[in-house]
Amino acid sequence: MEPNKFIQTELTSISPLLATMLKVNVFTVPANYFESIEITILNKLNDAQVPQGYFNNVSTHIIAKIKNMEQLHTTEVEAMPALLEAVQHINVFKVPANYFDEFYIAVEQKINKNIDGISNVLKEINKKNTLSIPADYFENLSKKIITKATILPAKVIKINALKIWHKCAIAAIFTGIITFGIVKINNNNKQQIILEASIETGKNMDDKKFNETLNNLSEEDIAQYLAKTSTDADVASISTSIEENTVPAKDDYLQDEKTLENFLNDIEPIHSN
Amino acid sequence: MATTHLDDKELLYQFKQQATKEKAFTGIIKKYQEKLYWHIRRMVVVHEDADDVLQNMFIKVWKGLENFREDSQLYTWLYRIATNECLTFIEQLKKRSSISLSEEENGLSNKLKSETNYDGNKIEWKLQLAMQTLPEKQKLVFNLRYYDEMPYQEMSKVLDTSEGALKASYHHAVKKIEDYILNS
Repeated sequence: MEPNKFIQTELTSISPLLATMLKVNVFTVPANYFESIEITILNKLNDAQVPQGYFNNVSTHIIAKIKNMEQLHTTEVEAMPALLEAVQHINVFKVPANYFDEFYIAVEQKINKNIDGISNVLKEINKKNTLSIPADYFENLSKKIITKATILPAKVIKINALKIWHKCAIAAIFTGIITFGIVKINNNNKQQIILEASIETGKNMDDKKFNETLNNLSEEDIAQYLAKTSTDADVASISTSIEENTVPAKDDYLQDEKTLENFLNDIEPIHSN
Repeated sequence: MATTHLDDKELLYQFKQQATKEKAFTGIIKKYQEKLYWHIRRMVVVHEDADDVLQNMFIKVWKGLENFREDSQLYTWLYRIATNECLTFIEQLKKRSSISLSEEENGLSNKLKSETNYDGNKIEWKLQLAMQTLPEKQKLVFNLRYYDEMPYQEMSKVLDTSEGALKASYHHAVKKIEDYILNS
């Protein structure tokens, strides 16, 4: 090929040495390379291409494949029970004789051994309560509580301090107590008539007379009457007359033996308001 | 007998017809394969590498030819793709070998010396070795101007560089090669 004259002139002006050099191709190519290169490229192109209509059917192929896999899984699951049935329920493992009978002993021994291992100090300490309580505290506790509780009615309740409806309810109960005393003394057959009459009497009593009557009743009579005749509603009615927020917390009784006593002493001023 | 090739317009027209698409593409390969091959081979030196780059660039041509805008010449576009493929290949080669190809004794120089008919005393081999000392862009410019005799205007489209910059680049490349040959 004749060199381009303009390019040759340009090269000569830059480098006469290069301009005089022959443009020899030092590289070689395999025989018939250029005769077959287009076939190689076309083959490569065909490999790289997807078949005609591939993307139109690809979703169908994928769904079919998923269904096949699901079917295969179902078949495997269905075949499983039969497979398991074929296996006999034989325990191939063995345990030492009396292993399960003596297991708890072994565990206990291990626990004790562990505790010994963890702390010799703990092992030396006896599990003894170091806190002291007054002598016979628990023997006398219940008696003490009952005594204080039974003193409560005569000591704290002042009817004139209560609301009218509440006053009537409590009056009815305690009038009933009076009636109960009368009934005990008198003929039982007249019990109902006297009871009703007593309730009416109680309702009509003035406060001073009611308190005097109540004070004359024995504690035993009051306790027996309440045990036999009072209903849940009566108890609830009395309970609600005590403001809940003044009741000591449960734990306070455990921490201070004076708590209950203090609470009982405090009730009177509350109801006096 | 010299092979006659259809002109680019006719080839492009046939390529866009489904019936003649493959035949037209074969025609494009046949028309430009040697020019492009040597352009690539002088850049990557080894035949197997040049063959890979050539095949890959023609696969890209196949994928992109549908959208080829005929406001530029086909062969300019082919050279551009071939050049980009070369540069990508050389970049990958650098990463793989962790060798700076701007150094004199670089990977491509060693490959050149491994060629079967290599003779370091011959000036044409010295020229090839000198070319390997050039930066990639200068080497491309030198190749396209010295061997392919490409006008700066077209080279400007291939390399996306101004004609003035290309002229300066070619000048520097020639001077460097001359120095290498004289001093080696």
